[in-house]
Amino acid sequence: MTRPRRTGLGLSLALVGLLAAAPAFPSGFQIMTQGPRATGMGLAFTAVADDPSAIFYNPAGIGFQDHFSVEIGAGFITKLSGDFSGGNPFPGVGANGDQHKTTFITPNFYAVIPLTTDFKLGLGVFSEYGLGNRWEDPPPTYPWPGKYISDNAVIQSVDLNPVLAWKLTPAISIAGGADYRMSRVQLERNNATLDPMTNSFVDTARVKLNSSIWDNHDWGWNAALLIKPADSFSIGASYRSKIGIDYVGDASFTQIASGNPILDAIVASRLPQGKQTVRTRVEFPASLNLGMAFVIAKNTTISLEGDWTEWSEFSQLNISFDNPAIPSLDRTTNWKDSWAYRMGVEQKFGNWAVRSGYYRDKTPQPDSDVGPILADNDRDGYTLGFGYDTPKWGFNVADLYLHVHARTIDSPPNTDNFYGHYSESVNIAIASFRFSF
Amino acid sequence: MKMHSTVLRAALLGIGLAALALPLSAQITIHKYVALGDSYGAGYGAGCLVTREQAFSYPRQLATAFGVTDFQQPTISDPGIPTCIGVTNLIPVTFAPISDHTGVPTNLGLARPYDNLSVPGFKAADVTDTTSGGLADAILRGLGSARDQALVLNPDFITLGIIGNDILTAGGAGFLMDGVTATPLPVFQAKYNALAASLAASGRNGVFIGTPNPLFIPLASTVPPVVVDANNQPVLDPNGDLIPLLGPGNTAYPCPGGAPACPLPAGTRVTLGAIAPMAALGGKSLLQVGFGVPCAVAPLPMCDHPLPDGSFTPPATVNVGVLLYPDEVAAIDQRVQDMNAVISSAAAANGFKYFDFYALSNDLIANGRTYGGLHVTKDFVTGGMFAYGEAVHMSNIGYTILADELIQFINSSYGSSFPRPDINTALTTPDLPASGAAATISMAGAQPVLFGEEAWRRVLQMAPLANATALAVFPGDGSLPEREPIRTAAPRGRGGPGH
Repeated sequence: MTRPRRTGLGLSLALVGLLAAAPAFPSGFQIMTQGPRATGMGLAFTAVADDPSAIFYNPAGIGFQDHFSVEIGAGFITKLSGDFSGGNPFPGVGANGDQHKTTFITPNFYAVIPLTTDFKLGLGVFSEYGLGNRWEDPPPTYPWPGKYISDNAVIQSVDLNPVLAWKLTPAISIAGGADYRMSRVQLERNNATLDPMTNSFVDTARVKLNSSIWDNHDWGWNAALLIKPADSFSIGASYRSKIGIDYVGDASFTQIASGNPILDAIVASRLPQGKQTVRTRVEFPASLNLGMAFVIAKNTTISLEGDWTEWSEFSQLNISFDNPAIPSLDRTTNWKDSWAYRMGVEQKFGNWAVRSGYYRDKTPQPDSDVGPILADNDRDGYTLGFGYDTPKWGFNVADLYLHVHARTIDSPPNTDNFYGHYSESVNIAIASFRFSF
Repeated sequence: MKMHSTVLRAALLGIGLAALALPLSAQITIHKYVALGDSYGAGYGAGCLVTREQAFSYPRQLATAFGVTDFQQPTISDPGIPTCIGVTNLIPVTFAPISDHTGVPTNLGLARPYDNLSVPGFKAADVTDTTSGGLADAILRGLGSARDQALVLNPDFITLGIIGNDILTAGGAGFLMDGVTATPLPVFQAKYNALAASLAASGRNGVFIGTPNPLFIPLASTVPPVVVDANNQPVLDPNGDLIPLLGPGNTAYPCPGGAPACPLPAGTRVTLGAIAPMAALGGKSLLQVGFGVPCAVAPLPMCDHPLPDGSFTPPATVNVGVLLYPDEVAAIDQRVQDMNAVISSAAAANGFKYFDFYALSNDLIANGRTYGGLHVTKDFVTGGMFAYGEAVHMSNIGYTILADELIQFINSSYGSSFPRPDINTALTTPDLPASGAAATISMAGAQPVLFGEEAWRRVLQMAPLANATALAVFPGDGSLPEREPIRTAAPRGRGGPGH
């Protein structure tokens, strides 16, 4: 893994990425809220793709855009609720947990540069994948019972996505691009040791695994097609390849006093000292979005979409240490490919537009992998948005209320042997400005 | 009228569908549950029977899952009977009785038989034939045999967990000999079948629990058969090979040329007795004084002398040894499997289910268990599954794992959905006397040992010799012809649970 050259552009883009700290609550850990117009239409935008955010949703769409345009926006992801109530055999009925509630910001940036009438260059910067799952100790004093697996799991990513679109005919555009993804992962948890003097487990170390977004990156590619056989009908397809990133980072082990000085002395003698090199790999899946849009009446557009994500690529999560004395942390995730079904409508009133949408997103995560690192489930998304657009500029906002279906894990197999009931809801607000020249 | 008929059919269909949706737990309801068994059923751990550990016995946890509210056990106060063993230091690991006195029964006044009639040390025959002696006095209270008391309670669910005392002594003494260190299989079969038949009744369900793999318990699976250093790391010869300990050989593996000592063949098991400091050895273990250790490796006083193998000296002396040669390991394992075949057949013949503890123990040996990031193994002292300094008995954690497996088995066997136990409590609750009681506990007499002479003797006390007239003689207890004379000391008292 080589360190990227920190050019001025690279630095500025990476800073944008750092602002996108700890995005969360995606399907699996994919984030599709990358533009307010798309979000307002239930994320069914592959066959619409008529603003700069098309670079994310369907870059072939910029083949039909004839002006130099820049769109800058941000999403504000707020966890409204995130609760866990335990079940037997572990952590037991009565144990509970609360997810940290805060608002994360996910900036995005798109630029469309017409090269000729038929060729358009686009550049997108966004965070397609992210995860932020931080558990707090629930009141009054009960510790988060999943702390030996994770109490803070983070995946951040920043995509730099240059694309080239070619309008083959007045009705057909194709596009292709390169996707340079930088990413970091973080995992925090406690280690416990059996105290032979009480035959019970006690906390003995705080473990923090961290990596730098500068050092972990790889390339992928994307391709897209948009066909407009009539003014009132369009179909689109957009594909993004999988990207596997090998992470190298540091691990620190900080001792926690157990209250047993004899045990503490043993732990101290065996605890890895100093920073330890840690490695892992995350397979970000390929995705294929297929959509169609209809203008059913004057200024009224309906869009339908099916999104397939190859989550089966995410079948393992193995964390290893260069120090052979530290055991690796390996888990079989066994995720399945998943589909999301989306629909949206846009009604224009002159320069104003109102949008609404709904989607059902099927979880790729099997019961066996549900746990403190991530407890995903099927979700229903309800969206609403509006905007004001002129040929020179535009301002759009949207809101997505995400109801994650409650999920109960009450029988084996479960990798963590961690049973209970998870419930979660999320709100995502997103806004952007567009300037065109 | 036709419309009414349609509505009626729809309503009946709805009722039918609703009935199909009823929870499976409706398929079995348990009003009265009684446990028959041995020390595992009693919740015996840390060398004692004591309330704070009896609370984790698998019968107690099954009763909770069944929703049986008046499940009575023969509770005993701290510091237990016999006095519980505790860990007093970790460097080196030190065990000692946690007091100089014992606890007392606290539920003797119950005006009916206990629901948990498991008696430490019981073999199959004892369930029907024994009414007193040792802990049986506190559990059976002169009200008849365990089986008879169980039938008085007229349970609709029974567990029968006679899981190993009919063979355990072979491991404790270091040799398998029918009628001396093991119950002859025909005798076991006859007793078990008769017991099983007497328990069968219309409307009564239950589970018969098999015997685990003998290598599951720490007794014969902890001490490596090779020379190790003070840090328990193997010592290698100049060629980089492990150095086997020395034994006297046996019929199947004789020492070449009739030599008095030769390297242990691969597959030999050395029991914890080899590392138990013995009063007769000046407070050192057999290995510490050099038994089994080549002089070329360590010039200890008794180097080049073999570790003692178990043997029988007619008419009635059991010379307790610390070796199980591969043929003995295989013979004991085969006997366990034969016993399990008896238990399985008896269960099937009398309308009960057979719980395969042997398969579970193999799984636990290979994989342990991980709950929410907390990993439990069978490892002696450090694994969590077995109690302090125990060669045989599980801890609160181990018994909860067993209870969990039994409940899952019952659910799958009877289509029920009884709740699994809360293992987090067992994992995170110190197994210590309650605050206040600890003030009376003395750690006097603690010795720096990994496994104690007292714990070793208790193994044979727990599961008495099949030949009741035989006397177990531990190394150093007397002058044994095949052993070097060593400083003798009067054996420690044989108090404790006895039979």
